[in-house]
Amino acid sequence: MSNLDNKSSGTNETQVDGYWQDVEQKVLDPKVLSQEFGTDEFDSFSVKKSRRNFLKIMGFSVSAMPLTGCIKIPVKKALPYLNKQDDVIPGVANWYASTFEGTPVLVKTREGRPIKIEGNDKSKTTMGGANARAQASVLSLYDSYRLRSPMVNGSSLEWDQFDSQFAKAMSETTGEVVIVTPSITSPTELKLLKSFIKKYGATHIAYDAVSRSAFAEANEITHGVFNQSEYNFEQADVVLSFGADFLGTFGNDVANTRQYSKRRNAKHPQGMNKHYHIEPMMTLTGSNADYRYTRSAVEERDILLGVLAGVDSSFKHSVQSENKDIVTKMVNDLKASSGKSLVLSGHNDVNTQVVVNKINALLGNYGQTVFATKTESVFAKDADMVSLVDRMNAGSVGGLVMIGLNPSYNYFQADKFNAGLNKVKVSTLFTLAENETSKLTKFVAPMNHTYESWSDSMVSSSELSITQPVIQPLFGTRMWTESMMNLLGVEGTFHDYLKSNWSSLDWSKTLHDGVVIVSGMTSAASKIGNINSYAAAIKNTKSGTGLNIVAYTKYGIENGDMANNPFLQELPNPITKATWDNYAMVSPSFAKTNGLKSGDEVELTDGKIKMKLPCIVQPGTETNTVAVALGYGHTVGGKVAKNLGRNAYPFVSFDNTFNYCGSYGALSITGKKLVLAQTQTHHSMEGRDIVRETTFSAFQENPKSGNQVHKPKTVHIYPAHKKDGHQWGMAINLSSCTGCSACIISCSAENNVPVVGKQEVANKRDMHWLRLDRYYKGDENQPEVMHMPMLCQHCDNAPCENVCPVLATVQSSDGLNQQIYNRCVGTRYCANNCPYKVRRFNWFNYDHSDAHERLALNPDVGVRSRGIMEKCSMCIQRIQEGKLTAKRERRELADGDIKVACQQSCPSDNTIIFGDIKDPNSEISQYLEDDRQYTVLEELNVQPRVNYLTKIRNK
Amino acid sequence: MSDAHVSELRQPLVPEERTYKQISEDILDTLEEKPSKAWLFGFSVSAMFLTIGFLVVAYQVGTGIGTWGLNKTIGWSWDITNFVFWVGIGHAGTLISAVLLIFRQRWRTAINRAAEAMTIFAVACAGIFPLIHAGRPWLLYWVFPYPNTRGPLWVNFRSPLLWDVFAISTYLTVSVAFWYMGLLPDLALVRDRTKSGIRKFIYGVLAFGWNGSNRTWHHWEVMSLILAGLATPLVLSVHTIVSMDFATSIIPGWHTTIFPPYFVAGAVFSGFAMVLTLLIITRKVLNWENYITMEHIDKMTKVILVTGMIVGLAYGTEFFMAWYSGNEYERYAFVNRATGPYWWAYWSMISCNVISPQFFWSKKLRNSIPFVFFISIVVNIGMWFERFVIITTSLHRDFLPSSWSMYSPTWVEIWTFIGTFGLFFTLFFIFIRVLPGIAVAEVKSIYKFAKKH
Repeated sequence: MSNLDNKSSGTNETQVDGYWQDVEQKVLDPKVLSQEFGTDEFDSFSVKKSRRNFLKIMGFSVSAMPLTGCIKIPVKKALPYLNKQDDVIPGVANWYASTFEGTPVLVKTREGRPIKIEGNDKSKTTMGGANARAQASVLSLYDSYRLRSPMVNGSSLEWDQFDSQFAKAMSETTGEVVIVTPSITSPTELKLLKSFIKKYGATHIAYDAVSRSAFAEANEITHGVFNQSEYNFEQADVVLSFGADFLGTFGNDVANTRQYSKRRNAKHPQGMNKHYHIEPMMTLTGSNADYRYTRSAVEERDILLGVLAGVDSSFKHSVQSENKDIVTKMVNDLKASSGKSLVLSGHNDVNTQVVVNKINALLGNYGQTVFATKTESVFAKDADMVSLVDRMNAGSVGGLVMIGLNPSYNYFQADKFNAGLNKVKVSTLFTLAENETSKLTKFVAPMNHTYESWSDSMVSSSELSITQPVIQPLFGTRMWTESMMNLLGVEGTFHDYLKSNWSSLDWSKTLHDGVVIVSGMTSAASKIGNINSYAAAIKNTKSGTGLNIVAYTKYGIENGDMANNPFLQELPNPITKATWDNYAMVSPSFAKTNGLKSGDEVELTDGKIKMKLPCIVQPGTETNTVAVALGYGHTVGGKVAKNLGRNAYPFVSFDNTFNYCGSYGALSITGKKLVLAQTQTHHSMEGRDIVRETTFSAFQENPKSGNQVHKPKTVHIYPAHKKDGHQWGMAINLSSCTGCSACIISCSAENNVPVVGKQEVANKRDMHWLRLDRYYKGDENQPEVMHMPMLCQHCDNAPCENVCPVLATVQSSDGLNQQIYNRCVGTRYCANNCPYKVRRFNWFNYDHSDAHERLALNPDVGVRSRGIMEKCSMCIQRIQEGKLTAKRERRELADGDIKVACQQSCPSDNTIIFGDIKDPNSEISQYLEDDRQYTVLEELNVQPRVNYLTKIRNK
Repeated sequence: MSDAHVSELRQPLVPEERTYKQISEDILDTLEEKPSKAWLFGFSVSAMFLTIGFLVVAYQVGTGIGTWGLNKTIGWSWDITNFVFWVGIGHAGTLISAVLLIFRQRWRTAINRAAEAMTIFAVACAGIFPLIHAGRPWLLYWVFPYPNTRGPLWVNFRSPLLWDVFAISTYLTVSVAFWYMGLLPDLALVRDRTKSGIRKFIYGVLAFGWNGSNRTWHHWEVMSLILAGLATPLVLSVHTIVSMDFATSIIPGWHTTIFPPYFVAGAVFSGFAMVLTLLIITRKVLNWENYITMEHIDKMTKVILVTGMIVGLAYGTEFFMAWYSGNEYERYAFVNRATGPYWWAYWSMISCNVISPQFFWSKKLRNSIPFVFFISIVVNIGMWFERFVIITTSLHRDFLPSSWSMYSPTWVEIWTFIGTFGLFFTLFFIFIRVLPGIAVAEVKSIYKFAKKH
């Protein structure tokens, strides 16, 4: 096995002697792992807490007590390796390339434990970015709630017993055999599934709870490929989105954000893009639009047809008078950038998607900004699932194998699905953890987490990304693919299977890089005919009476499969800034007429569906719309997910495809007040000069526009700090920051920032070192939104430093404001005196006792105890690591050697820049010279090291 | 009675004619008697609150500051409010004993002992808060600049909190020394009067062998004057330094140069109010009306009236400066005080501190004991609100609106505050049982002087 030195391969500059290689013989050596983790320890935690067990343990303990006097307690020794593992050097991280939900990632492991996920910068699509879910996924790996052993009819047994019973049941099954998976983008898994289908004469159905079925169906109609479109936002001068949250929950958000944000740079050779957004509720993407219009679903359809009429002269449609100007403006812009524009819609509706495809085709965007590609993948088709449930209820399905699914929770008619499931003789579920569906399934097999599995993924037709395991399975689980191979009698491991499927590749290099660039994107030829029938269908879409209840996908939580992840639950929603809950979003005007306030409990009623939940008054919501997030209200789940929020899937309806905004109903106020855990509750800048912004046209005239400098005269009482050596600084480009919040989780994972829970967030004691401030401006119903990452500004004249009586916070020689945890006595004076309010106090001892979750802690960063202050350290452990590497290699530290955690994982382009401001050639120094550079509250003369660049809107 | 007159215009300091022996008996007999029911009741209630307070603090120290209502934006609220409140109350004692001694205000003799005792107890109550408000109080000894083995790591002389440590500890030391000095002749008197052997022994030790000789008296007089001289600047320094906790920061509403005089005036204001509250009860219960007379009460209400107006002027100046500075953060902070979510706290403060003392322009009201008692409590409430307004409303909405938040106390904070009242009154009840509540020797000295020969 060849060890590839990552330095020579230039993969990640911050690591020290990190090797990526085929891990199976190195890190996954079970002997090593049991030494590392003491597997016995895990087992002792698996004892279920029940009254019976309590009495047993109690009885044993009491009777054993007298004996302990005679027992010599074994001495635990930490022994050095007798034969040291080649690549496991205590204290030095190893990095492995893998894939999470299609995002190519690098997994940082320390002493065999994955502790941090970062984007893989070898990828041409994500360019090293990673989203919040990928960042948080490391905690899902260690989730104590994961299933530990296979179960048949609710009782646990050994794998070999399970295998034989399962094989027997499958061979005896009568009737139809169906295998249901989520949309699969893995060519090798599909190959394996084909063997299964062949052996059992099975049907394969893909089912996504949050479905984009209509997109694939429309592509089949217009281009003959049942596949999702691919986009290139970097080529789009004008983007028009009808509620498509392409920077958030639309899928492929990392790549989209990277490309889109490149065009938010006013100095991009092709200029800045112009982004129109029309939607009934505020999404992350909508908040970034240059022109955002709050419109109901009905008006949205009207505008879409108006745009179609604008580009297709053969189609006639007269738009409502108030939208005429908007449509004219958009059509003119779109036409002016034919071939360089992009129209998207977020609706899972075939007619809408066909019309969108038609518009893009007419504008000549295919092959430029949008691609109807064919990849080896199976995408969900909603009608298949609905018909399967009917067949299950009819009793014609004899064998059902579900992989990683939870329809009992997220199917829109869960009761009907459950009834059908009970009629299936051999029902099987491969799952990470027990869920609503597993409770009703006969054969339940725990499967490996992604980071314990082999797989591959082709989310984009141009790139193959390999998933490789980075740790031995923690809980006695097995890859579902290997279980499948057992059943089919395929020899070898799934690793062999995967490797042989890619025999054409240099396997070592593939694993090392994680990604393989396969080809460029090519779009299938368009065969769209007459559009009128589709347009007429859109026009005639029935809408109900009452409030339109939209079941939306929430950033991070998405369909609810990672609801037990504390990082994701505590991530403030980029728009509402609420954590740990779902809620009914209503518009300010609706709230005013109905006397509603954020936090009031409301009841939503649509026919038989009744749901009580708190409301949030959300600017930018359409008056007749109320939006509820999916992914909450699990009745079976871990301690984080269970009974948190309400399940909004019943609001989904089926109309050829799943419809997430087809529910109409009423809202009533119960009069109760509920706890809303929001990290930010004041949403106006109060006219203050905090986020500076300008328009693209003003910027072209004067690059300093919007950036009135008022640098104060500097008078110092105390002598200035010496500035020898490196002087670290940061710049944040407000124009390209989308507010996606991936950096928050990246920071928390890197720096062991505790998760404090709903009540403590409601008490305004969230611990995030980095937060995203979100402000609104203008009309409440159609506000402009500003996102601002806010972290310790590392002031040269730091107000926090002066006031600490014990010198627990001081200026380092390289210009960082350092918090000395051991010295801190916790007067909180520093936090009071911080004008940015970025300091975080440990109000309690926060829980790190979970034996598995503890493994995700970064050993380079201390865990803080109660009573002390903490804050952004500018990832000092990374700075130190970078400096030491350079020193050991006897070279100067190069610009870009050190990447701080928020910077590394930021999916957008060059938004966070970190470097030495004393080095005139560094990237950061260029940014400091920029006309858009300013520091927040600079009139206070605290002289922050964190700089901001003005936000530019293309207006 | 007529014997005691010097001037027709002035009321005598001790209106009723008493012999020296009678004076001793009036004041000291209470130490020899069994405690009255009223004392037992008052002491038990205070001790009960003290106990609850102690348990609550133990819970808080054991669990974490999270048991309070503070958050990421508001790092101090009731804790430091209570601290400044108690330090302020502790102000009157030194002012009465030191400043009035130097200015030869003879009326002080009847009230200085109790006022000084009150000072010490109030500072003791105040001292609890900086200790327990720290996240790790067991390490708070790090704020003292003592020689240690941590190399160059020492205290931060730029931090106002460190100045606080010096200011308060100096103040407490000097106040205790001064108070104890004043007690010496009276302790000797108690020693000489008592018939119980054990008491004789204890008071004998405490009296430091006082023998009443000319030399002893002479030294005592000189020492009193020196300590008064030392204590006088402390009257100004303590609250000046406490105010710098806020004035040297950059938070709008804190960052104000007016704070030192403003805080000192406020402290005298609240200190006199507290002295009135306590002495109005004590003189009634212990029948000391002959020593703590209406004249005393009248003078103290005048001090309250004057300092109350200084405080009112300071409030006005702050607002003017906020407007005049043109600083948008400063302006917002003050508008927010008066009209923001904590407007009720601000207007409580104004009504209690600026409006209520104005009634003391009327001599009739100054001479109404129930009314004076009522106002003295109102002023104390008002001064508590002043600190709450300064601390909490300035913090809750500062520079970046994204962090703005609200604060409300938890039961832990409320009971901790009540617990300090328990401590204060417990100490006061013990004090009037075991030590002469009025400086007997000093009263006798002015009594003779006042007598017509």
